This record gives sequence, C-alpha cells and structure tokens, in this order.
Amino acid sequence: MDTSEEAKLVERAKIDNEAFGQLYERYVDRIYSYVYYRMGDPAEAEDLTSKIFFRALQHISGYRDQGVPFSAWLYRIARNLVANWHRDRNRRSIIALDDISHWRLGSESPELEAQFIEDKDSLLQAVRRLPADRQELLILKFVDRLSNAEIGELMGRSEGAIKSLYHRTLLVLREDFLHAVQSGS
Amino acid sequence: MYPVMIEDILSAHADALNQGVDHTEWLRERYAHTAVDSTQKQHLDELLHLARLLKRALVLQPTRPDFTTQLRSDLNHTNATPPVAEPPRWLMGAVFLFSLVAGWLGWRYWRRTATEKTAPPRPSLHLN
Repeated sequence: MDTSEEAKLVERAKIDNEAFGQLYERYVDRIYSYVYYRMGDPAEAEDLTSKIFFRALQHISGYRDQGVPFSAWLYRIARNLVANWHRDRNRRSIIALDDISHWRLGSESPELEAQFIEDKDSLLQAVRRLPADRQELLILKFVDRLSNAEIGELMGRSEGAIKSLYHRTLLVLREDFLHAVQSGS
Repeated sequence: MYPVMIEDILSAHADALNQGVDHTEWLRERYAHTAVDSTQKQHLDELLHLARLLKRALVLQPTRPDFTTQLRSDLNHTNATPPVAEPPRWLMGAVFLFSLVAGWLGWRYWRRTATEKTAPPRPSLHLN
C-alpha cells in the first residue's frame, strides 16, 4: 500500500470502523513488537497495545496528514503510553526469558546457539537500559527494518542524525553489554 | 578511519542485515587496512558483531491470534468518540486579555478606595 492509498484509508477510517480495522491489521504486529521490546512482558504488551489502538480510534477524527507516515502518529501514541507506563509503575522491565519460541536462531552450531541465547538475555537487558529514543531507533531499525531516512521521518530527525545516533547507540550498548557479560561470567 | 566513515559502514551493514545478507566478515576484511591501529580495527569488529547480535535478537514478535481477533472485534464495536472541540485560539486570547484588563481595573479601584479610607480627614474650613 503506497502513501496515497494509506492516506485515503485513514480518511475513511475517521468514519468507518472497517477501514480502521484494516489499519489495525496493518500495524498491530509492529506496534505490539515495539511495546513488547520496550516493556518486556507479553501480557502487559498486549494490554498496552489494546490501549494504543483504542486511543487511536478515539482520536483519529482529529488526525491531520502532515506529510509524515500514519505509522509515525501511531508510534507517537505508543511512545507516550509506554512512557506513562514506565512512569506510573516505576518498575524495572521483566525480560520474557521463558518465551524463547520466538527466537530465530541461525544454522550455527549448538554451542554458538547456546552462547547466543545467553548473550541475547544480557543484550536485551542492555537495550532496555538505553534512553527511550535509542531503544526506539534499534526497534525501528531491526524489527521494522526501516532505513535511516524512514526512521528520521518517524522520529523527527534528519537521516544523518539517525546514522550518527545509531553509531553512538552501538558504542554505549557495547560498553554496557560487555560489562554485563563480564560481570555475569 | 573517520567517525563518519564508521557511521556509513555501520548503516550499510545494518541495511544489508535487514535484507538477509550478512556482510560482517567482508566489511571487517575490506576496512581492516583503513584502521589507524589495531584498537580501531577491534572497535569496528565489535560494533559489527554487536549489530549482528541485535539483528538476531530483535525480531518482529508475532501476536497471539486470539488477542488480535478479540481486539479487532472490540474495536469494531466501539464508536469512535470525536475529540472535544477546543475553542478557537483567538477566543482564548481574547478571554485572557479581558481577564488581564479586568484584573488591572479591579486592582486600581481597590487601590483608590483603600487610599481614600486611610487618608487623614481633610481640614474643614470654618468661616465665621
């Protein structure tokens, strides 16, 4: 679906729940993944995903196309609600370590895969310790597979700024991750 | 190797990973000679490795079919409530200005009456 088709669908969604349902189908997995990685708990992520779409439904009549993708608007709602969740609960995120069925392991040796599982635990914890905008960047880049230009549109920054932020994020993450791995071993 | 160059390498690497192509080893060999020293080479190696790990760790999480179906149904049966219309800005500005002027006039009136009450009585003239 190209941008103009989506814009038409969004206009229809203002008065038609079925059209909103199509937008929902299109974005539910992405929004859920975003929330899941920001929160760490699948049940809480489902709960918040529901709230995000209900809020979107309530406010879509006031949505104005300002040249940025509709997903940017949805992500803004998600970002605000996740921030509220962290602020209200004031608790540390729980990593869903038992939920390993979703892990996509490569065709490497069992030893390497076992190492990866250990690393993944520490890595996701380190990701969740990053500032919100950096977590968001990594999720948009690797989960949504967006280019720097697309991420820039969503986050309101230039492509160059995103490229630079990605580099700095990796640097910080490397230090934190190595520290976590070393102190754990 | 300049920071901008590293940024470009890392971005190209991540884009390739997203397309299912892992250029990690190739990039390590390709840019090894441009590193000023072994520390810089190791620095690039670690960042490329970290990006590869991130790509494997951060994957789209499938939602439970029960959850998505139920939510879709709930959304279908919910009437979107239009947001409460805000008054126009000019009206809000006018109300603000009016409040300011009214407050100022009230304050002046209060000052004047307070001054009159506390002022000593004027000497009366007795003309006999």
